[in-house]
Amino acid sequence: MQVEKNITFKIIGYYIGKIITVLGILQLLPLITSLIYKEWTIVFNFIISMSISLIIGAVLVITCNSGKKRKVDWSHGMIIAASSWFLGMLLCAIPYYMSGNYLSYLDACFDVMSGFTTTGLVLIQDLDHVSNGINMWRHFLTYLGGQGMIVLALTFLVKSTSGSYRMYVGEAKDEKLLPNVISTARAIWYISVAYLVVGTLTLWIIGIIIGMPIDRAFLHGLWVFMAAWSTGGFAPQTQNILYYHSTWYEIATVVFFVIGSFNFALHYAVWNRNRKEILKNIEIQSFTITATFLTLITFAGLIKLNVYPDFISIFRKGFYLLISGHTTTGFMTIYAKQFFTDWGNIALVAIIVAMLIGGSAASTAGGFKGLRMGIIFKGFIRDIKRILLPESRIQIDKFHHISDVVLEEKHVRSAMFIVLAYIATFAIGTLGGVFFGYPLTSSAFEAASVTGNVGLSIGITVASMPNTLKIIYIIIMWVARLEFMSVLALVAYAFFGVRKKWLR
Amino acid sequence: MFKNLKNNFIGLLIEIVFASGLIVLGLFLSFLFGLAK
Repeated sequence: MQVEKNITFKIIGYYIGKIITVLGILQLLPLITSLIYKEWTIVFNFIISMSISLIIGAVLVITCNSGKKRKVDWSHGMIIAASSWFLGMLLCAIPYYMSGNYLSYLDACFDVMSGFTTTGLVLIQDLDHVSNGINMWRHFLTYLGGQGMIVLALTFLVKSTSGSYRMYVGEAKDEKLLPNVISTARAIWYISVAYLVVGTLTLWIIGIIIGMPIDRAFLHGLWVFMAAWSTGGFAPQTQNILYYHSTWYEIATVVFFVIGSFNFALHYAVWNRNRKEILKNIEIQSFTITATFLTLITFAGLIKLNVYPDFISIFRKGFYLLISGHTTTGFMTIYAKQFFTDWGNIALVAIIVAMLIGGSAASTAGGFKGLRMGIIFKGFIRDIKRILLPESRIQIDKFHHISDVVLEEKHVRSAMFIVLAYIATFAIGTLGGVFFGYPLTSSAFEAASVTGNVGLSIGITVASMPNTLKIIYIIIMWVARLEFMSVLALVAYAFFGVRKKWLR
Repeated sequence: MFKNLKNNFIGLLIEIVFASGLIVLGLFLSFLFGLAK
């Protein structure tokens, strides 16, 4: 039994070691950025942080090398995914903490998890004067998190095995674009990098037009695109997107974060001649319906309280923030406190619902996803039909996601399970806020933002918030992003002694 | 996929047009609600 336990540890250790090594190598990008801008202290910080990651990664890979040839089963895949996100957080927070922009290591970890999970809530201090190296690292982390760390490792360092797919699923991406999971991971990066070029160029040009210096416009364009595409919501300025005071900047970011919230399987289909998929896909239909419906509710709430004087303001604030919440991006065009002071309960409820629904499955977005929303709705309609139609009639219902899929009980049950898990997590987050003395509406808003990996804030997430609440939010971001199963598998492995079942 | 640049580019444009369509919808709804004020 002890031998088997060691084998399990070695399999997990080997792959986590690989992923940590990748994270170490990736620190070269912010390091080079700091070198270019002569931020010597930050260069030093990244050298130390990179060394730590590479050493830990190498030690794990070398000591657990025998795990390389072993079969990775489902439990291993789940545990590797959940552990690598958690360990990645601890290691990637080192340069944050050393930069002096954080009041504590916990705050640095919060921001890393917020970046990885593409949430976008921040505890960083004096953001307007943060070095370019740290800003590069913040936005790069959220860009990587959007695609997924496992996807990244599969692209570069791990050979194709059946275990690769299990790790990939552990990261809550269960769509195979191509028969081979490594090719799938590469296709995901191909699409993301193509958009990175187009998006950065667009925002760079807009930045120059609105009066930013060329190099600054480029960096802002790159960073804001990374945050938009990964539905992350980070920005290099405290005022977030409001800082730019540009309708064109806002329109461009909406385009990129809406596209970023699409399923990678949809991107792949549309990019490979299956162009009508964008109109037929259940996720897109579900998103369009819920976005329109919730926009109407938001506008009704804002008009009732006479919050904005004209339709342009309603569009730039109301529509922008609703879609930002629905795609789980979290870009803001108002100050956090304005949600509390100006918006009123009707608009806030609409935006809370939008944040919980989120974007598409197997995308960079969070929330319980439009696919599940569509499946549950179809299941609901099917049940009504069963009541109304004669019992003898055999009813076959379908939904369209890349191909026509017959709606089965297991689809509805699985979707319901995940939605219920999200609602339970949202309830825990809300209770956490209320417990620490925040108003119910504010607690619910922030909890929805954390659960849906959104990043819109009503003002609770600040460095002075209670540490316990920070830890609750970190756990919720992590659990919700990985869609529960991986983290539950890790918890079960660590605490409940179910290892015997898994060891073979 | 990687060898089919023309189709990839058309796909990218279709997605951008679709997302822009959503913005037009938002503008239209904002306009309607602005009129109703």
